Amino acid sequence: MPDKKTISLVVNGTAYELLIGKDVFPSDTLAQTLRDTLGYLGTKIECDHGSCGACTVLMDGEAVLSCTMLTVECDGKKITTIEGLENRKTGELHLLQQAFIDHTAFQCGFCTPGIILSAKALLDKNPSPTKRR
Amino acid sequence: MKSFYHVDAKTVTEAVKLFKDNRGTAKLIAGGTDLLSILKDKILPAYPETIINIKIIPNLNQISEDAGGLKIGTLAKLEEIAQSPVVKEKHKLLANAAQAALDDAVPLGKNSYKVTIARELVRVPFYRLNVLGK
Repeated sequence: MPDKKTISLVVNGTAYELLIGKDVFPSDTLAQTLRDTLGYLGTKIECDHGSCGACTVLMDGEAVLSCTMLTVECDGKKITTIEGLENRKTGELHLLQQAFIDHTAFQCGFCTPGIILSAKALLDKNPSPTKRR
Repeated sequence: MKSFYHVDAKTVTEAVKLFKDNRGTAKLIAGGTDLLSILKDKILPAYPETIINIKIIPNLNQISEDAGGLKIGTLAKLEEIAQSPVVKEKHKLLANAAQAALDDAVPLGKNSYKVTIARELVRVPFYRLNVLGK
C-alpha cells in the first residue's frame, strides 16, 4: 500500500494538496496531473516517452520531463509550467517568451513550452552558454 | 498506465525486503524514464503490481573503490561517474566513456541529462527473447 496519503505540490506559486487514490493515482505522471487534474494545459504531452521534451517543466528550478515522472514521487516540489513565466503583476511575458515571439521561433508551437522552459533552466544556470552546451 | 502500488524504500535493506516480499511482482524505480516507458508500451512479460521507489535512499549515488574493485551506486549520475576522482584516476576509459555519453546527451539542467539505454535495448527482439523471455 502507498505509505503516504497526500502529495503537496506548489505549481506556479499556488499550493495544492492532492489525495492519493482520489486526486492522484500512483501511476499518474506529473504531466497527467498538471494537465488533467490541475488544468495547466500549457504542459504538452507528445511522445509520452521522455524523448521529445514537449512536457518539460521546471522542478525546483531544474528542467525535468514531466511525462516520465510519477506525481507521487514529487511530494513537496515546486513546479513551474509555461503559465508561470508571465509576470502576474505587470502581465508582461517573460523575456524568453517575448524573444520567441520577436524572432518567430515557432513552427506549430506545440512543443514550444518545453523548449522555453528548457532554455530557461539552461540560462538560469549558465547565462552565456556555448553552442555545444 | 495501469495503476500499481507505489512504496518508498528508505534503505537498501528495506528495498531488498520489499522486493522479496512481492515475489516477482515488483519493479524498482530510480530515474523512471526507462521503466515508465516500457510500462506504457506493455513490453514487460508481466505488468508489475508494485513499484518500489529507491531514489530517496541516501548515499546510493556513492562511488568508491576497495579490494573488490570499483563500486558505483545505482543512483550515481553519469556526470558523477565522469567527474569522480577515483574513476578519473584509475578507470580513465570509463570516465571518458561517461563524458562522451554526456557530451552527446541532451542537457536538461544542473546535473541532469537524458541518457537512456534500457529503453532502447528492451525494443531489440534478441534482448527481449533472451533476457525477458518474451
